[in-house]
Amino acid sequence: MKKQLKKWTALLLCVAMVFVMAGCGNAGDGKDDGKKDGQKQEDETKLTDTTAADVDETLAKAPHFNITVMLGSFTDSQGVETKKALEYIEEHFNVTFNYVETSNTTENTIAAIETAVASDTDGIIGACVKTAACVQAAGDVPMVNQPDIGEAMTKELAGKENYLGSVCEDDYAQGYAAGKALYEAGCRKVCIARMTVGISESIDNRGLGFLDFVAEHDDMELLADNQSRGQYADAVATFASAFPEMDGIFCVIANDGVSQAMVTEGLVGSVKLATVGYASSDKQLLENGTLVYCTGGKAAITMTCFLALYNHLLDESGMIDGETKLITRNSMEIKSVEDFEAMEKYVVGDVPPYNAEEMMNMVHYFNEEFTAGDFAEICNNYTIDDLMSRRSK
Amino acid sequence: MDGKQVSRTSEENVQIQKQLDKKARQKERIMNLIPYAGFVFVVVALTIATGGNLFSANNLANILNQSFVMIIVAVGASFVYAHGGMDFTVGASMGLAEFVIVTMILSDKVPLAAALLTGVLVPVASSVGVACCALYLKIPVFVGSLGLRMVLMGVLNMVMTNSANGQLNISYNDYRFIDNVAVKLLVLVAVIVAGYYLFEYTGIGKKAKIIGGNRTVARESGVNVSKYVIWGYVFLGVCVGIAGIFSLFRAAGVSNTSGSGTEFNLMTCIALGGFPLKGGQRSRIINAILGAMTVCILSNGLLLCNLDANIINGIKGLLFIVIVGLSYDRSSGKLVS
Repeated sequence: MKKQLKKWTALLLCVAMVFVMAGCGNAGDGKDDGKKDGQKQEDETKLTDTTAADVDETLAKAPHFNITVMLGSFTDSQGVETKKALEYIEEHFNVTFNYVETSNTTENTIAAIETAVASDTDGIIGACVKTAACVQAAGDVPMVNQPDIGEAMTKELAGKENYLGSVCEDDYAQGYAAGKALYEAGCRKVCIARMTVGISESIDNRGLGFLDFVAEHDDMELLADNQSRGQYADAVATFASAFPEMDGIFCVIANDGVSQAMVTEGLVGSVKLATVGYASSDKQLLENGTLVYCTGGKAAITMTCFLALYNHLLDESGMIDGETKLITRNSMEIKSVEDFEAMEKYVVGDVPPYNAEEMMNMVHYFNEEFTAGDFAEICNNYTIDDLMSRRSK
Repeated sequence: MDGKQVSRTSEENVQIQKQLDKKARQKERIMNLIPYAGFVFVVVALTIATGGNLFSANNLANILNQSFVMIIVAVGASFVYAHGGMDFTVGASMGLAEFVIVTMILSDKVPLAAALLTGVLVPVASSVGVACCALYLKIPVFVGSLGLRMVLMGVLNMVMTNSANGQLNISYNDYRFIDNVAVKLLVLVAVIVAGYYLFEYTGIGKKAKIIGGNRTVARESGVNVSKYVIWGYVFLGVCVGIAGIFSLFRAAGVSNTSGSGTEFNLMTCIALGGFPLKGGQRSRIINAILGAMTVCILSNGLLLCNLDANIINGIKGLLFIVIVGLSYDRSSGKLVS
C-alpha cells in the first residue's frame, strides 16, 4: 500500500513538472513582436523629455531583444545584486533576460553558449570565456565578456567579429588598495586568504596586488599565504590560532563566513580585515572598526556589458574601443559605515547603480552624441561619491 | 496466528512458487522499463516545453556535442560498475590527460598521434591505480579512488599553475578536423559497438557481471577476479582518455578545472539510466548510455526553456530522486556496494 502511494506521489510530481515546464516554455511568447520593424522607428524613439514616464515610453518603443546572461552564480551577494539590476533593466527596457549559471569549466560554458544560440538568443553577456572556442561556439551571436581574461586571450579574441569586448574591474588595483588600507590602519603583520592560484585570473590578480604592496613595504610582514578553494573562514580561524601577533587579514573574496570567523575567533578589536566584495554582515564590522576596506557595486559590470551589447544590437554602435576591446571599470571602494549605507541604498536598493534615464543616455540609438569615449569615462568615474552625487540630483 | 502450521501439498507449493516467480518477473520488467519511461518522459516534456526547439537541426548537433563525452565515459564505466567498482578519478585524470596532450602539442616535437596516445595512457594508469588500491592494498574502492582523485587534482593544479597560470590554450582552427560532428559520430559508434561487444560477448564483460553478482562465488568458481577487475578499469581509462581528447579540442585549451565534476555526472548518468550501482547480472551497457543521454538532454532542454538556474537544479534533483526511487532494487542491499 505504502509502495503504491509512493509511486502515485512520484507520478503526480512528474505530471506537475510537465505543466510547470510547459508553462515556463510558453512564458514570454509574443514579446518579440516587431523586433526588426523597430529598426526604422528612430525618429519616434529619440529622447525628447526626461521624465520617468517618457523615458519608459521611449525605451518601450525600441525593438525587443532576448539576451542571455551567464554568471557563475546568481545567489551570492554579487549575483543577487546583479540579478536585481537586470530585473530593473527588464522593467524599463524592451528586453528579456535568460539567466544561466555556468560552472568554472570551459566545457560547460561552451555547452551553455551553444544552447543559448539554439534558443535564438540575440546576444550573450557575462560569459566567462577562457578560450577562443567559447566565442566560436556563439557563431554570429554577439557577446560581451565579463571578468578579466588576460592579455593574451584578449588579443586573440579582439579580431573576432561577434566578440564585442570584455568588461572588468582592476582586480590588481583592488588587492593593492586593500593592502594600503590595512597599512594605513596600522597593520604590519598580515595574512592573506586566497583562492588556489590558477582557477580565476581576476581573483589571482587581487592576491598579486596585495602581495606586491606588502613586498614594497619593508615594515610590513606577510605571515601566511593560505590558498584554498573557498575555505576562507577556516583560513581565518587557522591564522588566529597560529599567529597571535597577526594584526591584519586580506581575503580575496568577501563572505559572511569570513565576517563571522572574525567575531568567533575573537579578532574584533585586535585584527583588521580587508576584502574584495562585501558580505551582508559587513556593516557591523565597519562599525566596530574591524573592516577597513571592501568593494561593492559590482552589478555595474554586468550593466556595462548589457549597454555595450544593447548599443550594438540597436544600431551597431561599438562602445568598447581599442585594440584589446577591454573596458576596465573603476571599483567602488567601501571604507566607512556611511559608504556602506549609501551602497545599500543606491546599489542594492530599488534602483541599480545606473537608472533607466542614465542608461538610456548611454545608448547611441537614443542619444546620438554619445560615444565610446564617453562610455569609458563613465566607467572610469564610478565611485560611491559619483553614485551619491548622481542620486542627489 | 493461532500457532498452527499450515500444511501444503507439493503441487500447491509449486503453484505458489510459480506465482512468486511471475510477480518477480513482472516487477523486473517494470523496473527495467522505468529508465526508458524516464527518458521518454524527459524528451516529451522538454519537446513540449521548448515548442519543438529541442529537436531543431542546430540543437541536435548541440546534444551530440554535449552528450558525446558522457556517453563515451559511461560506456567505459559500465565495465567497472558491473563488477561493483567505481572510479572517482575520471575527472582529474581527464584533465591531466588533456594537459599532457596540450604540452606535447605545444612543444612541437611530438607527432599528434603520439601525443594523443600518451594522453590516453594517463587515465588508464590512474584507473589501474584505483584497481590496485582495491585489489592489493585492500582499500575500499570508494576511499581509494577518492584519495587518488585528490592526489591527481593536486598534481593537475600544480602543473597548470606552474606552467601556464591556470590556462593553456591551443589554436581552435588548427584542430577543427577533430572537433567535427562526423568524426564524433564515427568515434561514438565505434566505442559503443566495441563496448557492447566486449561487454556482452567476451569474458571482460561477462566475468565483470559475475563478479558484481557475488565476488566470493565468482572466485570460487575459478574466475580470476583481479584480472577482470583490472581489465574493466583499463577499458574505463581508455574511454576517459578518448573523451578527454575530444573535450580538449572542443574547448581548445585546458585549465585546472578541466574534467572536474565528470565523476559525479557519471554517477548521475549510471543511476538515472537504471544501471545497478552494485553491478551484477542486471548490468546493461544500454542503461549507462540511456542515463548519459537523459542527463544531457535534460540539461540542454532545461536551458532551452530559459528556466531559472535554481529551478533547473531543482527539477534535475527531483527527477533523479523519482527515477532512482522507482527503479532501484532495494531487495538486494545497498545502493553503492
